[in-house]
Amino acid sequence: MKYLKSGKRYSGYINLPNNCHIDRDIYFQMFFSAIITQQDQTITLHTFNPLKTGKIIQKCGEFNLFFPEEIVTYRFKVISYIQDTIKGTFVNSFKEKRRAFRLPICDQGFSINGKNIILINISVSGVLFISTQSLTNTITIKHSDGKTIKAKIIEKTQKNKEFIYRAKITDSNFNISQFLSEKYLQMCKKILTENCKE
Amino acid sequence: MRIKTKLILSVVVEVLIIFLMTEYVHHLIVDYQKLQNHLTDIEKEKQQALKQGNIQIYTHMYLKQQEIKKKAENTLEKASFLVVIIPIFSLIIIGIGGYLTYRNIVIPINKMILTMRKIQEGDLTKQLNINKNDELGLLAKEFDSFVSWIKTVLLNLTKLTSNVSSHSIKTIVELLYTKNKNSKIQDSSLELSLSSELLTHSIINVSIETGNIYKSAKDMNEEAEKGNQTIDSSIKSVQKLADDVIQFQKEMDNFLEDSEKIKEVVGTIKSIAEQTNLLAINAAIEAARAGKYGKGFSVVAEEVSNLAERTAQEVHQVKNIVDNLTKSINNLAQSLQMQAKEATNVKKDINYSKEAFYKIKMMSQKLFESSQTINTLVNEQLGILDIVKNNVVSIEQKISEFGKIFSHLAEEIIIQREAIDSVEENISQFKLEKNPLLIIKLKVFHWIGTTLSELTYYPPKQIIDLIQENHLPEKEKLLIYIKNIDTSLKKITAQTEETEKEQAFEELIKDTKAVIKFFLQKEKGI
Repeated sequence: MKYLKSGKRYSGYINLPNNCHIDRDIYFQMFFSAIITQQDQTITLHTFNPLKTGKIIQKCGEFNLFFPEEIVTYRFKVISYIQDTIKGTFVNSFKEKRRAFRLPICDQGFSINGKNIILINISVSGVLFISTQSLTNTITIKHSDGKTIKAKIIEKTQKNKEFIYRAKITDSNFNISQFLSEKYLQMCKKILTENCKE
Repeated sequence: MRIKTKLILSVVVEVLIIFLMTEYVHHLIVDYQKLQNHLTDIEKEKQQALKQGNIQIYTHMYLKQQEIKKKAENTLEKASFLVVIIPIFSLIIIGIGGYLTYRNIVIPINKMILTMRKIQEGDLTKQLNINKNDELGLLAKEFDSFVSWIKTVLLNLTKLTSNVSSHSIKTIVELLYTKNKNSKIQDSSLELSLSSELLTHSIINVSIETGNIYKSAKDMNEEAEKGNQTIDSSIKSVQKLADDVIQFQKEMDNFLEDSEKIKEVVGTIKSIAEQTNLLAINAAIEAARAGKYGKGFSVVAEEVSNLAERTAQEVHQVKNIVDNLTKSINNLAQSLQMQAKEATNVKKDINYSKEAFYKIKMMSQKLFESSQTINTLVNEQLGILDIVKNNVVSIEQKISEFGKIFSHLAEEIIIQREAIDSVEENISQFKLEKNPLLIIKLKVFHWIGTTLSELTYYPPKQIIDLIQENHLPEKEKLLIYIKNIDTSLKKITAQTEETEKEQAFEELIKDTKAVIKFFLQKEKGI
């Protein structure tokens, strides 16, 4: 944390568990930023953006902060939360692969060959979904609202009678980036509204 | 005549009559006493006449005594009659006075009480209408004017309340629709803050990737520099090689020239050898002619011939060697020429490579500088984004504070509305006019105000839904409608026929119901 400058705004994210159909850790990353001051290993975060994020962080107990100068992510644990100010202590740090924003949507409105699938995760480049069908090569995922995604299966694992697929998106008839941003805003607003009632 | 004067006059007359009657009774009693005294005197004179035996005087006295006795009894009877009459007369006088008092005071007071009771019940159209000049008449007039004043005040108050109610409704409408706006602002502000974070995330990713490009460009620049240096060195070597080849070619050319000269020399030697051989043959022939004396010379000639032959052979060999050498040199020269050409081409290529390397270096330099600039710009972007975020947070805080103030304001407006409703209800209890349009207006406003007040407790989304589903008109329409209520009521007031008024009022209610369907759903009536 040699690059940490007190009084500067730092960005980070909190991992919010997203209980989807499968038994694996699917997290929704909610981004935030806060002005940070440091005293030894204890850091104080205040003036959160969005304003109500502090309450969510307090509930989560842990949060991550980016230090782009070091290309390192630091993990912190919440010590206290008083009047929209969080005190946290450094837990560890790790280098994480920077990649396109992924969104766990857990959407059951998509289908392949007319059979419903559960879309667990989506990014601009790939999708993760569960299907009872045994699929290979190129697939077309369709949504009832007309959205279509063409993808190529790159990984397939079987769990009981279900298959978990990882596929690379090759084409789509909608702007996935925009779709992700809109979904992200919807999910965040829902979380903030449900958890931070006045 | 004033009641006081009437009462005083009545009392004075009564007292005067009783006084006169009493005086008359007193006068009769005095007369009676005088007659009794006179009787006593006559009795003494009669007794004296009896003692004196004067019968004539005695009789005269007796008769006189009887006459006076009769007179005294009459006087006493009169006095007694009057004593009995006075209370009766007093009672009659008091009765007349009481009746007059009842007629002049009690009846108007009872009328006042009844009217007051009706006024108390809210009917301010009632009047005492006591046309008298006494105090009660004045009191009734004052009372009637007081009631009129209260009525005027209440009418003014009704108008004011109606105006306040109308403004209050407009305020509630503004509040209702501003609530949506406030909610939308809060929503937009939250979206802005969330988007700014998403943007930061994206910019950080770009920043990291730009950092990688920066490093790669830096490495490439260094490598290009090294390559450039190596090429410079290669160019120098190739140049030296080309120069050497060219020099060697020149030397080869000299050598070829020399070999041609050698060839000429060999040719000359060959010619000399041939001539020598010819000479040796001639010498041998001459030696043979000389016989024994020419034997030694013949040997020499033979030797010379052999030598010449050998020389010719050697020369031939030399010629072959020189020819081969020339051929080889020619081949070498050709090869060298090609080499030189190639070296020139290589030099050109290397020069091109140098230019390419230079370009690569320049481009990598540019890339390096660009990535450095992008990095700086990205950092600048992040810095600016931080400022944006600080402002967004500040806006969010302000919006949150505004939301609290807004809620407080909403509560205050509702309290105000409740107060207005209470005033409206109280005013509604008064009957001010025969056709109470103002009161109807108040009731219409009361109805709208109460319903809209209830709506302010609805979540903004539900209000938006109500507007979208046409259960609640748009703000402008609602405000125009509220404004039109005044005009509609004025039109109703302008109607002279009672039936037309009722019809116009019915239409107003119909319009109200049509404009605000939501009210119908609530099944509220005026």
